[in-house]
Amino acid sequence: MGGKLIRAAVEFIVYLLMLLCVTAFFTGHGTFIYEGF
Amino acid sequence: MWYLNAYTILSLLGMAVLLSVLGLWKGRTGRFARKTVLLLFSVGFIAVYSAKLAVFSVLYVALNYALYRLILGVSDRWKKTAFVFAIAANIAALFVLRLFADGTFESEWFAPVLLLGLVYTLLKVINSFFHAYYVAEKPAPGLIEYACYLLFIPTFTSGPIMRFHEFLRDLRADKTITIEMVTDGVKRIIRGLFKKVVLVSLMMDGYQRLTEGDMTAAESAGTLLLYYVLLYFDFSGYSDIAIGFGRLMGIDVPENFKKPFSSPTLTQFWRNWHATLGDWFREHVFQMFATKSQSRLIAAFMALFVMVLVGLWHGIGILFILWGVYHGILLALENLLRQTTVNKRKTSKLQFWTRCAIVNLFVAFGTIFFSANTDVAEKILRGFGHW
Repeated sequence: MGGKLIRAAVEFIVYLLMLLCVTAFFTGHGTFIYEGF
Repeated sequence: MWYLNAYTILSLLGMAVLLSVLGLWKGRTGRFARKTVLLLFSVGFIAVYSAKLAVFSVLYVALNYALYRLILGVSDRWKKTAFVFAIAANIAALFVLRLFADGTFESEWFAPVLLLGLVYTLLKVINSFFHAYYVAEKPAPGLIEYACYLLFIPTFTSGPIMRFHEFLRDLRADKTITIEMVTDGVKRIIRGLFKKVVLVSLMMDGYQRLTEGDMTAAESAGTLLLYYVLLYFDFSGYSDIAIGFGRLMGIDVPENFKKPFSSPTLTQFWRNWHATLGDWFREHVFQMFATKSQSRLIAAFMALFVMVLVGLWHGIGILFILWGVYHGILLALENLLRQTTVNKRKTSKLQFWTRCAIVNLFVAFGTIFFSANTDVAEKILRGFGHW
């Protein structure tokens, strides 16, 4: 039970960090919109 | 590549929520409402991106639906003619559009954006013609269903390539989006975005720095390996996002990357890397010419032929043809030497992973042709002469 909880917590933190990195990259490029493709 | 636009992600999430709510409305009317909303969203989404592309897409869908119905409706005597004509007309149209794109022809009506995702849509269109010719499903899919299939936004620009009957099965089902599907889909989207937005951006900086000046052999090898991994993250990231959004919208988008780095032969590699493209060519080209008592020589020739076609599908240019020939020759050799598959259970671990490493090295070297830039390709090749 404890192991499962820790695993879920770690997974949540990892995904949260990934999402934060993505947001940082989106906004870090100075624009929220990618120009062109 | 509209996934690099944050507004795209937000609007797709909004659409997924709307479809989930509509999913609670069961029965024929509910399904009709879902399909109509999905189509309106797809056309609207494309129109916001480019009005010209939206008009073109609507006309393209309408014309191809007419061809689809033609194949379904004509007598058996003319069915094959209609089938071949419909495919040839689509390939010719793409070829002409590409001539406009590279400047051979000029017209004020043309814009490069018209080619966005068209190579993928073409494969879906051909799959629908096969569906009409071989399956002739009843009740015949309506225009809304057909348009939803061709314009499905998560897979519109770069796949994965869905089969028409699989898409129809999901579209016609009364699906309730469960909490597991949402969790799974959101995780997949985050993973894909992380690969595509963060990792690929960082790796692209490194790749550009490496290819700026002259290279040594070690730098050339490093550049190729880096580019190979970059391509993987770029494309598998895109597929992750498409699969994630597909799940949120109740459409089961097929897997495109099935642990390709652990493929012990090139034949197996092409079943795991961009799997839906390999499956498409196997089902629509290879199978058409395959016979029951196929000799190794014919299988080898077919492998070469299909890979050159795959190269041309990626783009018309000498590097893509060379890339197709390179992979085609390797696959042909595997066929001739009867080395197309290796069973992991019947091989020692050392032998298995050595083979995987060799396959990956061959594929990494092949990316030299895939960079679509002759200057960089030349620079990398010259680098191998500087030890």
